[in-house]
Amino acid sequence: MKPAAPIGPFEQVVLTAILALADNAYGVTIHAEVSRLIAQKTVSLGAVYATLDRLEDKKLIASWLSDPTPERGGRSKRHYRLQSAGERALRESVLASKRVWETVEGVWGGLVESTRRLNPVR
Amino acid sequence: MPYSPPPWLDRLAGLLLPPASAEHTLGDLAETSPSQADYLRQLASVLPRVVWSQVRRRATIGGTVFNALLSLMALLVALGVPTGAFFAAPAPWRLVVPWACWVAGNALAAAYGHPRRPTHWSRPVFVGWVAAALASAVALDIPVLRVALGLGGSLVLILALAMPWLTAVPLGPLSTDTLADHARLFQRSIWWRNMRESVAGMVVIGANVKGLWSAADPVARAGHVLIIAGVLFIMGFLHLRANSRPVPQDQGALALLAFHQRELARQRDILRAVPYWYLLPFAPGLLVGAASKWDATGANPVGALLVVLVIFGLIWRLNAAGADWLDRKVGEVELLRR
Repeated sequence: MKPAAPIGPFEQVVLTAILALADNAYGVTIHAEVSRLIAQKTVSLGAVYATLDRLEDKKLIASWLSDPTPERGGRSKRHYRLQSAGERALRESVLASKRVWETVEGVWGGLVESTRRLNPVR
Repeated sequence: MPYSPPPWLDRLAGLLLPPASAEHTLGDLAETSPSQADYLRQLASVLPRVVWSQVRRRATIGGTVFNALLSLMALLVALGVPTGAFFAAPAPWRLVVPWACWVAGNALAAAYGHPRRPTHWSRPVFVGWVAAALASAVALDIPVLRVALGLGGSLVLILALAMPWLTAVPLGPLSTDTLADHARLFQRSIWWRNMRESVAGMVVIGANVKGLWSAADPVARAGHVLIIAGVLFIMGFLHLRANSRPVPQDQGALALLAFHQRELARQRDILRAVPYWYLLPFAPGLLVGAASKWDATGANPVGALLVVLVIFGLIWRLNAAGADWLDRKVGEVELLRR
């Protein structure tokens, strides 16, 4: 089997958002989900569009236009879904992140605890 | 009640956004903006990224760099580099302004092309930027007719290289239904590449035959002979080893798949070997020619050789990128086979 295309951290987040949103993945909802996943950063809608285009060029996702809806000024939504290559790339990227997490946790002996110390819960 | 932009703002935003992104982007902006100020702020934030994304997709980075180099060379030649009157005048770097207008205009014309036709250019955007390039030449006191000649020449070359009547054929994704069309288009593009290279080769041979007759120095003549030999070798290689092949007719899908995959892999390997069969044959002639010039004029040839090395490196990288692209196509055919 062909190795999965390498993806960057932001691409990983966008793919995750599309996976989580399933049939409701379009610009606005993907942007909201990406903002939720990243939590501490402000994400621009333009950055999400550029990444979606790049992922589509890599054939990791596919897109199609829906029918126009009145609440959007009569404009269509561009929906996205993961392709099998995208699922593979996301899986491999998540596994790599997991290995990084386990290594860091092994060295620091409890990453969750040290994160709490840095950002105390009020 | 969601915000709905007034018709003038909707039209303006629709004009500013590339057509391939306009429909869904305008909808998303309307859905997420609670007020006109917010709509404008979001539009200003989204616009550069969306335009850049379409430039990257439709004009491509490699295509834009190639266009920039080609048009710069055409402009320099049209203005008579290095002895032309323009280069004797102060601040010849002002040529950068019309040149940048041209390169940006070409990229933007591609980005604003018809959404369903990937090779289509927006005529109003193109004409507007050409006018800007010529107007800047007038304003900066650059010979405008020569600039027009140089830019026109580079456009003709680009059109000939891209062979629009070949690439304008829209093909669906690779499937058993479109396989024969994909295979035919690939072979036609190989045929066209070889034809293009052969014409360029004939021009180089012509120039060197002329140099051979006019040169008195035996070393310079040897340089011309070696260049001619190198070009003949390349042309022979193109027509014997890197040639296009007829797509088999009336055979099953599996046989056609195997043929197309074999051909993609063959051309990929040929592109990967470009340093050996396309660049190396020029080396003896260029080195002997440089040595002859050094001997005759005393001018140090290192700078010129470095420029040649950079151009060779660029050709090598572009072909390596082409080989990677073909490798991905081989993978797609493999997936279809399974």
